[in-house]
Amino acid sequence: MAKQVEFTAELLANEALGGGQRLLTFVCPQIAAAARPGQFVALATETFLRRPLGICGVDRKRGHFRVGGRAKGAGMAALLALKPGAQVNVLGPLGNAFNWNKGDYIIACGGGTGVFPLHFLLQEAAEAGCRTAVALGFRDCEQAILQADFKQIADTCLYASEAGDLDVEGTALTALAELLPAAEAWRQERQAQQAGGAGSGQIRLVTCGPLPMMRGAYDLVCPLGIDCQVSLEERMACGVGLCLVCVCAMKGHKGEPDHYARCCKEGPVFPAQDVLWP
Amino acid sequence: MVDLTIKLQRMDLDNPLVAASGTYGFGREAELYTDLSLWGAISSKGITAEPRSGNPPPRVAETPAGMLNSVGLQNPGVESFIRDELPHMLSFPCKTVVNVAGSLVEDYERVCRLVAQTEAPAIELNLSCPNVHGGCMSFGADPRAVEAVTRRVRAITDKEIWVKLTPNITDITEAARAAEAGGADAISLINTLLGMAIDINTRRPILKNNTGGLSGPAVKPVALRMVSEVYRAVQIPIIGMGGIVTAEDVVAFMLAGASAVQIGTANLLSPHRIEHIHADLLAWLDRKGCRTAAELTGGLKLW
Repeated sequence: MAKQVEFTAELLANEALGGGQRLLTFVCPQIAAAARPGQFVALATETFLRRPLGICGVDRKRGHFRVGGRAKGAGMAALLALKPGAQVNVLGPLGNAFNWNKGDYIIACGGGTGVFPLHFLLQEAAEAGCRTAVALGFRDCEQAILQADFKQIADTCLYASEAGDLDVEGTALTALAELLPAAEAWRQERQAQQAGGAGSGQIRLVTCGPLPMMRGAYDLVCPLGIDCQVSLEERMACGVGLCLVCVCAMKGHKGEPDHYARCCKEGPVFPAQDVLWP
Repeated sequence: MVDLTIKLQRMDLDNPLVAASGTYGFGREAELYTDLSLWGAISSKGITAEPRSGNPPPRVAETPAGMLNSVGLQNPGVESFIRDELPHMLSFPCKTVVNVAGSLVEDYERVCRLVAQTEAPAIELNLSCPNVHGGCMSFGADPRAVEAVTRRVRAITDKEIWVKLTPNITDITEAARAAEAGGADAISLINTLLGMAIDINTRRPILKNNTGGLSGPAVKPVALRMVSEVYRAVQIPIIGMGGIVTAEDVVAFMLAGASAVQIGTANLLSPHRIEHIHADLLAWLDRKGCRTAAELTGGLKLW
């Protein structure tokens, strides 16, 4: 049964977030209904190829989805200059989703445009009753975005900046390190409960942002045995797995050779232990 | 009702639209999104004797009206292809063309010997991939090599053989005549044009491979000119490709001399694109009073 993945979405709102980042809200009930945190959309604009953007949030009742970004090049500049009412051709939702369950303790660690997909996950996880914690890093408080949103939906939220003008002085990883003791305490308590027959649920770290940050986050939690998922990105063409250009290098396990996986199909979400870090 | 069927030397197509190698995988992803009976055939991702992991990313650079790719023939190798992918491809409502690439003549022969034993109706010899160092590029640029490889493969199979030519050559009609002399059933052209894209901030090429193949509407004028030249140089059918994104483009290539066309980069703009091209082609032919698609072939009148 062929699945329709191409739609016309109407731009509802285009807001400045700070630090040159903007948030676009589109009306597209089909994408709003189907999208899961971790997935992305590919928006057509004046450039030849589409622009892939992680989905920042949805309003399923109203049929809206949101994406955000900065004007890095001509394609993004054109998208971020759109006025409400603009009709945009979009493919979506594309890619795979973060893996999580009700009852999990979700820690999100991000920076740059990586914060957008994390916002979607936090929104859904919080609604499902998960414990949530967020560690986000920015250059300074001018660059910090969605602070009010994250602080509202997450149980614990630490914003970090190198300039020291946010909650934590340092990077997203500095903030992440501060969140871990509470998560560990929750896990001990959980294990005690489970011994007594209570429900399951594990700590999951999800991270999205610059590669070195994601690598650092994985290095922090790996020795603790905490599940870690990363959201990768790579220059992309078709977005649906046809063309093999958006590959990321993966480790071969159990005697299998190292290989390439498609960011748009096997990803963008990957288990951190599978990534062949550069 | 317009008749879209196309008769080639040893194979017929339900319609002139073929999915170009490298843009459609083995059909598994596309069949999730669209009806594969809209195609006359799918040309598989290029298959080599051994599995290839392909080039490191970035493998794509956007260009005006096109893109550069340097995928590097990532494929599972002929044995895995025949075992794991071909059976599913053969279940599709459209025909399967197995695209074969290699570095040495022996590679082509080895792969084609195995493919010859399968039910696949056609083989497309990729003599023109620009992304394999010291490999295919040399074949396509040398007419004697083109004839030699074609002859070798002709000797081991009765299947339909398409020879896919590179435009990165001084005179493509020489290579086309060589393929015909070697026993090809059809010439498919053009493969990608060799190009480069530069990031002026990092002062590096965008592609990790430095260069890549240019495709998309940017190459269409070159492709049309070459199809027209080759049409006048050989007697065998031509499968034309290079920047086809609309039904009108399909018509133009057929007028230039193509019996069928391949559509590649357009699939990357949307997996549903073929639906529009197919419907628009039928509508155009109907509007113009054409009874068949085949009657378009070679209809171009040069001044």
